[in-house]
Amino acid sequence: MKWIGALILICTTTWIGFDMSNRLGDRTKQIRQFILSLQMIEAEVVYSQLTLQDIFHTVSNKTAYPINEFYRQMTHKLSDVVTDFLDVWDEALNRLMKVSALKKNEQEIIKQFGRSLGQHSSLQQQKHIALAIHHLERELDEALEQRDKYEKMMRSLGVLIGIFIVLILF
Amino acid sequence: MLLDATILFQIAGIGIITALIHTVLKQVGKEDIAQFVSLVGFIIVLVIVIHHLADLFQQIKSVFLLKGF
Amino acid sequence: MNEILRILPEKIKQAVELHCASKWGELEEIRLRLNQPVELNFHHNIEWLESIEFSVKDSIYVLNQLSNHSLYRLEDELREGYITISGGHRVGLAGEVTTLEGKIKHLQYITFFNIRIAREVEQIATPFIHLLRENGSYVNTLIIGPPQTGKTTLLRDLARVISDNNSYGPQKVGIIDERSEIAASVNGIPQHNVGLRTDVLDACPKVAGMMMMIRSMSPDILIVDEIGKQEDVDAMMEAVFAGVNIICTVHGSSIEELQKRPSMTSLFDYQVFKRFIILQKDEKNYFNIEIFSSDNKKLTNLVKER
Repeated sequence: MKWIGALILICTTTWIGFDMSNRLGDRTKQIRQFILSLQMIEAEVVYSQLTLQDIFHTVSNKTAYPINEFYRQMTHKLSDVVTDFLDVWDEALNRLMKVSALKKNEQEIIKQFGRSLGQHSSLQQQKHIALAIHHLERELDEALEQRDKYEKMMRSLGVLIGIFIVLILF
Repeated sequence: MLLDATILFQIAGIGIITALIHTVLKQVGKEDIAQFVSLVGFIIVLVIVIHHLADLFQQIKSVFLLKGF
Repeated sequence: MNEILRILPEKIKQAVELHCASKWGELEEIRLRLNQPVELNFHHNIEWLESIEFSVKDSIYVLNQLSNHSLYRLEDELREGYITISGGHRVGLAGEVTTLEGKIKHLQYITFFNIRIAREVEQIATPFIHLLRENGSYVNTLIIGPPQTGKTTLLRDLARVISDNNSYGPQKVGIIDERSEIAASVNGIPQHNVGLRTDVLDACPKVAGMMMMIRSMSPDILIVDEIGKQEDVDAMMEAVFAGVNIICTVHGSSIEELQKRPSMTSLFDYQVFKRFIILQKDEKNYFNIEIFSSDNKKLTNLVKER
């Protein structure tokens, strides 16, 4: 019986370690996806003159989870009469934060970007998009650094701490 | 009892794991946490040893008490 | 009216609905000004919504509704100073402008909105359309009148009648709608009824548009609004030489006054126009139409209620 308990404990801590390690990798992937989505928006704004709703629809088809879900929600919400665009944006953003590996910094950047959407001429809009991309790229650098440093560590620590606790308790 | 295999394995295991954690943390650069973990491991081993030493002394005491009059 | 109410902020929408409940038909304009009460222009009077003030938040709301949250799409419209919405209504814009090399670059801060309500007026042209024909085809016609006399409305109905009319057979009509007033197109789709056989070039400069239309859509009749500059006249002459008939409007009060204008002389020298329709300034809800032929014979006189 003891062995089964011990095994479960080790598996749990190992799983936690792997999960934390994966989050680091996911964060870099998701920041990259979001930057990609911003570049797509920029291209559409400059060349196609589509409305935001149509642009979001296009982008949601060309990005990966969970970023595509974010844009899908925005597309859906914009088909009704929208009193306050920012409310809709923030709501979708909050949902994205729950299901993604993104951190507070990215949330702030995306939130600020939402405030500039569809309020300016295409030249100014481009500038706002470029600014958001710049900020996100800085976060990407940090996220990559973190991943490289801690990815392996998290996994090893997960296993080791599991064995450690087992040894202490039994 | 002191030389019970389980306790030996336990102490050895804790020692090894502590060393490994220390190395991993040192690799990442968190030397301070590594030192802290080593300290904790050492204290735990100490506690176990003292616990069993106490038992040993009890035993020795009882032997002497029996022998002594 | 729904298209107009949709763009208004909630509290203003409710106040307008309440206020105009029985007189929608007479409402001509809704004017919104930053930090001022809302102005309602009816046919015969002006009324104000005293209790409601138009705030900055409201102006942002209106802009977002007009642009579908995508202001970058409206750059051309902002430069021209108006947006046409579905239904053919025109929202005029004013505020602070940024310039580049002396030309308007962008309407930066939009603080004044003028919502002009479009109303369809049909069947004005039907009673006299037969007068615009000679030898089995339509002739070049010039509509003359001061501003606000209904020239564009008449032009629109002429287009529709010629394009739909069946007693003479429907003709191919091409409209060069430089200021989006004739057909009031949104995304290229005319919001007014301009006829079954009609093609529209929206927001297209007259000069380039006329030749483009002739080359691409082979119209029988070209419809153009407000000619005045020499280049407009030159382009028209080209069209006439290409064998296309033209119906157009011009600001003015009489044929004689126009004959004295330098840019119009070539038109009169070549006797381009066979018919002249003169619109008089009348009480706001009447059309006062006189039609003359090229040898100054008065063909008819019409007064019609709008």
